[in-house]
Amino acid sequence: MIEAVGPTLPNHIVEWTVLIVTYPFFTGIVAGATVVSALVYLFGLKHLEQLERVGHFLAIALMLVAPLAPMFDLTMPIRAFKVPFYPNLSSPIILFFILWALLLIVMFLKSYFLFRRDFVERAKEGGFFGKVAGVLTFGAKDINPEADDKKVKFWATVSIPVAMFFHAYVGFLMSAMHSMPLWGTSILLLVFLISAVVSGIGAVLLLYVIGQSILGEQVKPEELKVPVLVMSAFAGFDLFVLFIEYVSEWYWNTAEWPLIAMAIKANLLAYLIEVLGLFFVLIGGFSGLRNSVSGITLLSIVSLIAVYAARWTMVIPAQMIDKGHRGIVYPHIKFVGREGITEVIALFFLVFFLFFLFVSIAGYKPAQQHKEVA
Amino acid sequence: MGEVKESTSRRSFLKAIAVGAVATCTGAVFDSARAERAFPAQKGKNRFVFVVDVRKCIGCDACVAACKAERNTPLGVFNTWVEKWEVGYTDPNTGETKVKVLNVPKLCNHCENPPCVKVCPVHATYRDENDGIVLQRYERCIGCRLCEQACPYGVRYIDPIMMVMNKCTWCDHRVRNGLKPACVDVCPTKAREFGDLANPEDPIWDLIKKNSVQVLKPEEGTKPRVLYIGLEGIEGVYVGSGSESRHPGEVWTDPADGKVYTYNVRMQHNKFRELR
Repeated sequence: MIEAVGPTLPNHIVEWTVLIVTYPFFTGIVAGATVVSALVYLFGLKHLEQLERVGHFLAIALMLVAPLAPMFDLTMPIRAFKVPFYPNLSSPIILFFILWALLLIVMFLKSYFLFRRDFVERAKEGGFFGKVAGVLTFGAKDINPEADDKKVKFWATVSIPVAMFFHAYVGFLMSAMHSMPLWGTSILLLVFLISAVVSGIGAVLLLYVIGQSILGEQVKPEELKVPVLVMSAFAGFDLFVLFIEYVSEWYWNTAEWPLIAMAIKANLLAYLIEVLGLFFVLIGGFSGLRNSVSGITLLSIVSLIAVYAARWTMVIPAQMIDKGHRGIVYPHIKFVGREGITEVIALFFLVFFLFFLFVSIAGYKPAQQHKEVA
Repeated sequence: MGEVKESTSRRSFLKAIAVGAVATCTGAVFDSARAERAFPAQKGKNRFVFVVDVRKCIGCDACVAACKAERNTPLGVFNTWVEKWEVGYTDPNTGETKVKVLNVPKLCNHCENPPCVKVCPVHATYRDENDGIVLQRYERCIGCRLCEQACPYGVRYIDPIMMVMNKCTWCDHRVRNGLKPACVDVCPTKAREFGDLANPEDPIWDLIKKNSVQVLKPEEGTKPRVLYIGLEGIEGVYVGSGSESRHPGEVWTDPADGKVYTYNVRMQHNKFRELR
């Protein structure tokens, strides 16, 4: 049963729910992880290389899982493969295929040159993962780290704008629907991109801290100062842009504003988590919290929760507003079944499975460093 | 030396394969896109248009029933429906009251610039260039529901049986064979009219020439082809409550002249939500 407040059009239901909330969350982390790449390769913070490596593993895993979210959301999922064969080039969904394929190619090229030296070493060790690594060298067993590093730097630089465009496209999917209040604004793209940086750095930091503690290695908070500060600064920037967006909506006081206000009230919890979480990340990053490992862990967890809530507030409230502009419809969120919460949980598990698979094949640490330690 | 030569030739072989694969895929995609544009070849030269005379509608819902029967539309979704609008004002000082109740039938507007066609990733929704009807290829629809988000009129829905998008077709199977849509045929007061603008003798021309016609949400730039008679000064003039503190659809007072306006809309279909 679908709940509604006020008069609503008979066909109106909230069509896109938790899966489409998760989709920009995943692509946002991909885009945000490239900011760590930028810190390492463009700003020369070489001590963050291990952090960048973790971010790269996560980005590839998310790149492979992210398309499943909108695909599971289709009422005819298997027909997703029709899109490349009957493309309507004026549809925003076509951009997905172009940008996703481009980003995947760039990421695999970067991975190849980044992990080639590890694959060669691993192939010598033998075993199952050794054999997989041997195949992944594509037969080139000559190790030349200097030459490879140049190529990694090149492809990492290319991946930054491509990942940003890929994530911006997901925002464009919504902002292109100009007849929908809250969606039909170009500032939505900016909100998408800025919150992506917050969640991307947060996710990479969290996995890095967990990885280091599993290996029993020390995390030096002073080394992570720059990414934490960037995350906090972007949280502040995000709050600022959100403030501009909603204050503008309130001040314009258009015919849709009463409905926007109703939709905001209906999702007040998500808005509160978003705003308070981002505020916490902003304050925490510039305070003593960034000087301890537990503080950094807390900040990254809060950033992820806040940005997930932000994705919710971007996707759900706009769809609740009725096209008749006189009422709102509540989303009907199932636990099991099509577009159920279980599907989202399965996607998260898939991300972590792929992450650990890639770590097992290529190694958590670069092979040379491994040798030096040994 | 020999090894280096071998690896070079292997690399160039892999490169050649990659270039070949990319070229083939690109060619296939563009070729299918080109073939897609040529489909379907249609013969008719009609310019269909739908006219709704709100003054004549008595809200009997016969059109809704006829549509359900003709299109076999499942429970809880509608190709057409009739809204009830209460429009006007009451002056508290003089007691002057000017309120009308309107029955406003709604259906797909078959826009000349349809946003649903623009956003469909697979050309499942297309606009027939010859007679202008916006139709759906059910066997191709992937069910992304982007068209539903893009449509400003809320007429598109997921068919609960086929699980693909469905919509009003203006009964294309009837109109292309010289009949009128089921809802037009069944209307007891002739509030719904359907005609062909390409035919100068069509009685629809009389209706359009003699009356002032309006369209829904002209600001969306969709150029709708369902023309309304009797919504002059109503649609597009004040569509909200005008006050951020009030529930939309409530009565509101104009501070300039103290007149109490209403724009109360009862769409009366919320009860069908229980069926979905």
